[in-house]
Amino acid sequence: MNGPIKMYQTKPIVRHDVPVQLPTCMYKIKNIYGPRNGEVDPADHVSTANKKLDISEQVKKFLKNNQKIPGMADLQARQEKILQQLADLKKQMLNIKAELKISNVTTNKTTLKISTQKIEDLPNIVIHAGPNYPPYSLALVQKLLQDQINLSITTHQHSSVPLLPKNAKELSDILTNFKPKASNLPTIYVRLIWNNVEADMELLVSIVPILGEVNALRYLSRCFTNVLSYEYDSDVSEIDSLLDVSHALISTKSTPEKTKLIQHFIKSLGKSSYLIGKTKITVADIAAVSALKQVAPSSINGSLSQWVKRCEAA
Amino acid sequence: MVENKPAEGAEKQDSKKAAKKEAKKAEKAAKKAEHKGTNLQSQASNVEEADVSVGKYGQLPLIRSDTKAIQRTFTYVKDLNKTIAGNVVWVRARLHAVRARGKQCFIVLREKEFTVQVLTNVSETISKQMVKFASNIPKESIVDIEAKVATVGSPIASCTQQDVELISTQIWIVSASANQLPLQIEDASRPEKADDEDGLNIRVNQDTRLDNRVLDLRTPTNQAIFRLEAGVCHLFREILTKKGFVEIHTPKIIPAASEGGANVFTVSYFKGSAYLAQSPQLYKQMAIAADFEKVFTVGAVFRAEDSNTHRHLTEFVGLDLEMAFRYHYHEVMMTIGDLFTEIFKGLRDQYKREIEIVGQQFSVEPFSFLEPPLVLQYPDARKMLAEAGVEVGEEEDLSTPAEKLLGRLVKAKYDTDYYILDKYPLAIRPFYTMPDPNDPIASNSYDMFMRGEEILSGAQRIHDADLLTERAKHHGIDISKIAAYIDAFKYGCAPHAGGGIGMERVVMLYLGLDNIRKTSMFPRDPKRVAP
Repeated sequence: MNGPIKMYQTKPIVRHDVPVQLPTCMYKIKNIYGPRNGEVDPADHVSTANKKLDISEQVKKFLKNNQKIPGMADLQARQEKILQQLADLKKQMLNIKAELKISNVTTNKTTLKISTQKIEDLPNIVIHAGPNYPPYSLALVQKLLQDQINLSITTHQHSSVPLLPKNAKELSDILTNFKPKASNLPTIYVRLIWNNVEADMELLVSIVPILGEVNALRYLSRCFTNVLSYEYDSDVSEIDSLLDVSHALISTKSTPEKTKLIQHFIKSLGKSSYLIGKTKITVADIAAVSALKQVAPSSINGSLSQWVKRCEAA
Repeated sequence: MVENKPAEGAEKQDSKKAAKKEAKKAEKAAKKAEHKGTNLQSQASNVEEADVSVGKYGQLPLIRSDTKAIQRTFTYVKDLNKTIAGNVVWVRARLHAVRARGKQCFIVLREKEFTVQVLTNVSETISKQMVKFASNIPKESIVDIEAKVATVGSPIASCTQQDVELISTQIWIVSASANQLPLQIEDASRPEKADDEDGLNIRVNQDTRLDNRVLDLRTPTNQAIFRLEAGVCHLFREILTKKGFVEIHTPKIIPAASEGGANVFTVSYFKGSAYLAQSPQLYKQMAIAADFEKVFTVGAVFRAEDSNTHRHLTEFVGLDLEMAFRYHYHEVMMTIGDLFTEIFKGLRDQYKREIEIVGQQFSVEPFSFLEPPLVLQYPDARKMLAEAGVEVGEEEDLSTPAEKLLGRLVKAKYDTDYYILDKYPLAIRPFYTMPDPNDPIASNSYDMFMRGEEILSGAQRIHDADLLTERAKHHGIDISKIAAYIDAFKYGCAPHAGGGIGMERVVMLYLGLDNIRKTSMFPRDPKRVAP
């Protein structure tokens, strides 16, 4: 193996956002893909955005030209009045609320509901991990998400694992005892099962498993777009290749191979705070720290140990 | 004739036909024995000139615990190994198989699941007559053999004691078997592998097995199954006693049907009638009301259900427990969950050999479980089933196929054969189930499953007489009929929950067997009350 292959981005070959001129020599029929009542969903069409822009400019022009229209002041006065009425109505509502002792939480709740709504689509996550390869990345992810999501992890021991090694036990305790700073967060339940699987842990959402810790992290990064996402990062290919390095590090058995792979991290880290010269932690850091702690804890020294500490504190 | 009595006695048959058959067989065997002159006295009287082995073989006189009889020390078949090679030992065991070949006779002795090969060779001290006698002993007879332990060149594949064989010097019949066996032990213990096309395909029918249960139970698999069953009971008692439970014994003759009236056996009771208990439920709860705090009971439970399925019996052993709790019934649910985990761990660690023996005949995947146990909520289960394309209504019970499917789904996702399903809909649970405080549809009740089949059903019970009356009325139950039950809670009762486990089902599902009759020693179903 010559190390992972790096990927680069290319320009798209086919463009989809050009306006299309429809021919007029034929008669029109209803769009069968649109909603039933015949109205056409503008999203289905390609070149509507420009037109909208035209209209707003036209309106501006119109307003500029007609500053001195006689009815204008009247209209303004009327608008002011309506706004005043609305304010009054709001005041009345608030008074009624105060009387009924309903606090202002309701507004808060609605925003929360939206976020839980999104997460409700996520079914229970089950992770089967080998007790000799504890997925330390979970602890990091749990910490990173704590402001937005409570990743509640419970652990189980499968019957094929009679005795849990010390490292796995410690990680279990950390994961199950974790409490996010903010309460009242939407909760995602994750069950971590110590099972007789080898280096490749399995993440199950439905029946088909996602194999490997790195791929599980890729999945999680798509779930929590605002924290872990890297797909719109300028260094997406760099991050992906480092994820592959982490995966190779966990899978390989030979020590020279391991040292060679660890060199990738050291090189990428350089003198910056995080991998690929980043100032913020990325998925690549999480995967790399976890892989190092699992299979080569002795190699964490020098700049690496500082970086591991930084990641764990992030 | 006298010598044949023990064999006859051991196989006591209830049905007349079998008894007649047995008598005939005994007669035949006796005639044969007489004819051959194999018993000791006749042997002594008609000494043949060439027989050098007189007094070294024959039929032992009936053992009637005579203190004057010779006392011998016997070695167990399982203890025969290389370390005692060269020693002369006495072995009492069953004759499993016998095969004569010229001047040689091979005997396989069986003791429980252990077998050893015995070789009888014509030699200076062993006469032709003795070898002939040995080759004519009916299978399944109990024999005493004196023999020298000898190591063998290549391991004997057909026996459990592979590295030694016995060179016999004396052979005595202790209790002869009838010549004709209704089933062959080899057939009854032949491995059942679905994909094995070439192997012998002779099997013993379930009914033949049950009709001749005494013979059937001699197979290594059955020995292992019932030792494991004893293990389940033992672990259940031990673990609960450690947790501070008290074992109680509840009456089996009860005055009124405890759970609905349909599936209950009526027995005549002097001038009136009484019923056989369908569950010790009421009595367990009374024990809680009487401040025993944590109780369990092991006893027979009777269900007059006319269902001929692989998992219903009309009489089975119920392992029941009931426990008072402080605030939440999950205290009890998790106690039961832990109990199961402990039992499974105990079986996995202490009954490895038994599980292996059963696995040799019925190849099944080993039982997997999680610690702590997996707890799913009823709505979760509905969601999982819906994803698989099976819609179950919000207040609908799971059908048997749905339960099986759910078992498979849970196994695929969580890799566990055991799980707890919590928060069943109130509508499908008995009237004494405590409703959920927050959700009008749900109740504080749970079922536990092994390999997709229900093994325990339990709930928090209503411990308030008024609420109980209200719920009973809601279910349209005649209050006067359950007055005694309601009265038990009139004088104050701690909040409590519990459940009942079917022992045979636990053993069946733990081992992955396909029929509950395999784990009941003398099963009772709508079509069988004998033997």
